[in-house]
Amino acid sequence: MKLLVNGSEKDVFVSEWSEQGVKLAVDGVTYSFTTQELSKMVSGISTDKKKGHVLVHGQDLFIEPLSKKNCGGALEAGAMISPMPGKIFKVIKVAGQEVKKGETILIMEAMKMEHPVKASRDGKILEIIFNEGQQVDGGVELVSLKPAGKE
Amino acid sequence: MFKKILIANRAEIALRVVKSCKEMNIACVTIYTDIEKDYPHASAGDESICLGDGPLSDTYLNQDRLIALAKELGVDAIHPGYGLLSENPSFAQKLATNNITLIGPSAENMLLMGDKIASKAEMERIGVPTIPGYHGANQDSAFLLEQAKKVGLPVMIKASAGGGGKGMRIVKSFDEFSEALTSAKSEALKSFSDENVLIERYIETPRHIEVQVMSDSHGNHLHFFERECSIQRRHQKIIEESPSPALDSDLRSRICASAVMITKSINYQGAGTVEYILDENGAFFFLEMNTRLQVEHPITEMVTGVDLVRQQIEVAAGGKLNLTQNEISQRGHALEVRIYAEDPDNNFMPSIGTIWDVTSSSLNGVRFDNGFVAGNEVTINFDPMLSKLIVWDSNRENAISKMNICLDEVAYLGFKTNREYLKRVLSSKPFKAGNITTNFIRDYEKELVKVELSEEAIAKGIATYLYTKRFSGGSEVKQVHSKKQTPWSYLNNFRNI
Repeated sequence: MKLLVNGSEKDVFVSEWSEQGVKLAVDGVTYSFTTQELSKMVSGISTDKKKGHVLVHGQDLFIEPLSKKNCGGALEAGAMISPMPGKIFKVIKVAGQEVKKGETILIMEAMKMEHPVKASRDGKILEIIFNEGQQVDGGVELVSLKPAGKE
Repeated sequence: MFKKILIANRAEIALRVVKSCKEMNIACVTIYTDIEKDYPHASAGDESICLGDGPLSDTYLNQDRLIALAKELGVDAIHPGYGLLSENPSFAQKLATNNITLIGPSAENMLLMGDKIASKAEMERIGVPTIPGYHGANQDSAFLLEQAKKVGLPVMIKASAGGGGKGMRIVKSFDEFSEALTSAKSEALKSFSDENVLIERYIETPRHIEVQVMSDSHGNHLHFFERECSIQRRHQKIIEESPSPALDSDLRSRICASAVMITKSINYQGAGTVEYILDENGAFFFLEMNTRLQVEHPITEMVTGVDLVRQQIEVAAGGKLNLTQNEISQRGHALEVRIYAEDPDNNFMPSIGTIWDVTSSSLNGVRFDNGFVAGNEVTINFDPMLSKLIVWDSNRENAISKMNICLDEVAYLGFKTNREYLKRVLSSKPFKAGNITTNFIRDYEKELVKVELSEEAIAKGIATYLYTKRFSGGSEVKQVHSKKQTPWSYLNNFRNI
């Protein structure tokens, strides 16, 4: 089966379940864990039993089966996406404008705070997808930018 | 003593006040909104009242509604907690008019300390040092720039009515001044309905030291020593401790004496916190006074052994403080971390989700002030602070070590929190050495990045996930943690089928 672990894809094959524990291969490497050690881990699972949250060495792992919904279609690296649900408070730049990396393109407002959304690289703004005052969800692309030097 | 207290707040602080009310045999009323029906505070009071739906101004901040409710239920005092109406002088005034006691200071005290300009002027008058700056009423941009030039770079622009980092900007070159001023004013207007700002010298390596005070109405003014709250992100505290590793006994007694001098001079009543900035040379400057119970009050309770909420209620009821200054001492070391629904690896952006489960600690000397249970939704409607985890131990080193263990045990499952990030801070060399400033998070950004897990650790996580999924039985949420819930029982069931 394929799992998404903190956003990266893992190929998982379970070869054996027993009272003593589990043997499994992750990306071709085989591991075995005893029931006893697994039972000491802090973990939880969503009500639909799909998503899991496990603490390993204190770190959070979010695990879910890879599905059509979460595979592919990932945003291009450096895309400017809304960090959280909120409102477009102010649009500073306009489509067609050249921007330098780090320049503020628009300001989002959420949790009564202003969050500037800055250019992720030098380039030209193709489109600012929302208008001032619009509500946007978290994780949504806000600005489409053509990187400098790319035709 | 009061017969019935209305707690005009929510989540962990509402639950905290309920505890003291119970111990004092005082009936209490909690309030909640539609979306909080399943939150613990919605059923924590002897009576619990639903305020329905709508913006905060219709619910927790609706002063007239709360007063009407208090009258209807025969409430004789209101505990405002922190935030919300806790430092609102008009609410204090209205309560006085309606013969309901506010468990807090007078409207006059609030008015003075809530105004950064007036409070600094008062401090200058009574001889408490303040940071150089312009705190006046002239808000003309050109004039403010001129003042900024007098104060010298780096300069901080701050909302006069502000708090929590809202309406605050730091300017390192005068070219940036006008843009920063405009945006600070707009944020100030939005957050506090007041766009007035003040200008101040920005101290490069500041430490945030605050002193807990408590005064009764008989002229007794006490302090409960200091808390250091230098570890902040977005100008909000995330780790607090008492005692502060920055103070020697001389500096400690001077800073605590200064706080008591303030409460005496302004004839303060109730619990309060005087916040100071300590610079690299050991000079301290008055920052502000919070005229309420502070989020981080538990660490003071841990080291002094005093229930501050109980003291607040006693003095609000007209009682005399039953302690003398000599009877208050700091014992051992207490640490508090604030657990936020946020993603520290994405600029501390708030996260949302359903709490599948909240796990607990197995250690001694741990206090978990938590406002949520499994099944609760964490939304963007309220502050992203979920809870406070507090530990006490004999010294700082042990307290840090204990907190690190504790943070591996106590987790909100189902969405991102800053839990693991707090461990990174606590385990870092500069924190352990006590070399902390309010810029710590920014200055050590590189040292505080996430350490990637080994492939084997990830495989173990996957095995745990598959295991939990397989043996989670018919129950909605299953946690592989406490003994009685071990999946072994489910494994047995599984075999028998």
